[in-house]
Amino acid sequence: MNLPDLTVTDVRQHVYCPRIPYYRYTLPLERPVTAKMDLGREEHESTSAKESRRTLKAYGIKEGERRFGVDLYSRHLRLRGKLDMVIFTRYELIPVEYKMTSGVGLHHKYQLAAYAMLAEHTFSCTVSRSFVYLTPEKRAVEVPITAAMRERVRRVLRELRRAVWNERLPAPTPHRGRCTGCEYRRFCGDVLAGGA
Amino acid sequence: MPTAEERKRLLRGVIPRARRLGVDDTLRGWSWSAPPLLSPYEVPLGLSEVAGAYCETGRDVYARRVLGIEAEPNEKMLLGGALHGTLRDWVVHAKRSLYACGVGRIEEAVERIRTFPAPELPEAKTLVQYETDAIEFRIREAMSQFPRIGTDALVAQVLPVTLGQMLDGAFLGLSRRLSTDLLNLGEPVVLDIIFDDEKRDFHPLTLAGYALVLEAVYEFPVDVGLTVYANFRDGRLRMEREFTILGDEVRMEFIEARDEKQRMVADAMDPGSCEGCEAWCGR
Repeated sequence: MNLPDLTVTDVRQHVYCPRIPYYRYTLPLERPVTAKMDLGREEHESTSAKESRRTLKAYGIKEGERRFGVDLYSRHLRLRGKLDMVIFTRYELIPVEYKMTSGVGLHHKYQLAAYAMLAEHTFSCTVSRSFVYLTPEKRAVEVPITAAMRERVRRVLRELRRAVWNERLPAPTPHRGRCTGCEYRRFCGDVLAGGA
Repeated sequence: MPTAEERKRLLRGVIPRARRLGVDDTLRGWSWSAPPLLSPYEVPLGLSEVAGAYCETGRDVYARRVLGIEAEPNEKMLLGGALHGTLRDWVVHAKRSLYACGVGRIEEAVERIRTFPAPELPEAKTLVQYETDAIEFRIREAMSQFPRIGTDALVAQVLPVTLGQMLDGAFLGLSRRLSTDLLNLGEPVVLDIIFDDEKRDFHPLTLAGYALVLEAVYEFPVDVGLTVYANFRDGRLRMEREFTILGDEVRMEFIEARDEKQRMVADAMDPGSCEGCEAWCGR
């Protein structure tokens, strides 16, 4: 089987529940779209439009150039992604992701680490921090990018490729509450949603 | 005890960085009653069984827990055990000497510390010699820096360690009789002393495991761990200290290893023997 390039979304979803990207790559299905996903897309588009009119005060930065919807690709990592916003200052490059949540989860953290690695490969620079912009709270949360996070992303990519290549169903997330709104819920017959 | 440079690196570099990075609350030991820390299996493994990867496939755990085969300890394990035992005895002896004499008779205390019976094992002898010289220096340094220091404060200043702190690992589905070493440098630092071995990728997992258990039992954050590599060459002790920030990644790795090994034992799945088994492996 010829494995396709992976996406940053795969990294996020693998950390959230390793079965989601596995199903996407191994089941010949149209990906079902849930109401939550539709709502997220609409909110995303409106945030991008508003963001272009704002200053960088929320990020504690005085001056910098913003680019929106930046396509990133690394041949080395065989990974691609589209970043919501990149801030270019005189000294650094800072990835920013908008999220329609009230807190930063681990899956968001590793998504940003993956974007940071892609940005480093694309722009030949080092990224030491990133931001999650929480749209409901209109607040930016800084997420430092560490060597351990980069290693974790590499590990996720390896695990995901191995699972897809061997067609071996990964263990589900231990957070059963996440199964409730999952678009692939009906495929996980071995999981009882709602309990621990 | 860390050198002055290491202490500076710890206090100005490692600890502030650990605080800045933070740890996801779901990966703090006190969140033991919810996933992902909640143990999915009733298989209380020892912490070293989870964190150790000297046997790459984990078949050592399978052999012990499923097949009931207890492997003979190899030379390295015997040496490590003997040196840990010597160090533990020496720390008790040094603390007892200091408390018995007090700061009023400090020279007598130093002399008394020197009366620790010389061990037969050459490595243990070197270790005791090193620690005795080092504590004398630290006592003199503390006495000159804080002339009015009390006995208890002096002991805390010169020997800020707790060796063999007992912990109940049941919160994380581990053994109920765990034992760890701690360094008390303003905030607790999990200490792992490794004798006669090189650095391994999985060594930080031990620190993460104990940090999680400490957080589960005492509900205070443990953000930093310290691995001390003590090696003996030509009768000399060489020490290297490695600080580890106990962030999300190493905690996740520990929990994943725990779940994988517990699953292996619960379902009696033979992981197969490893190919590159080390020469000193006792199995």
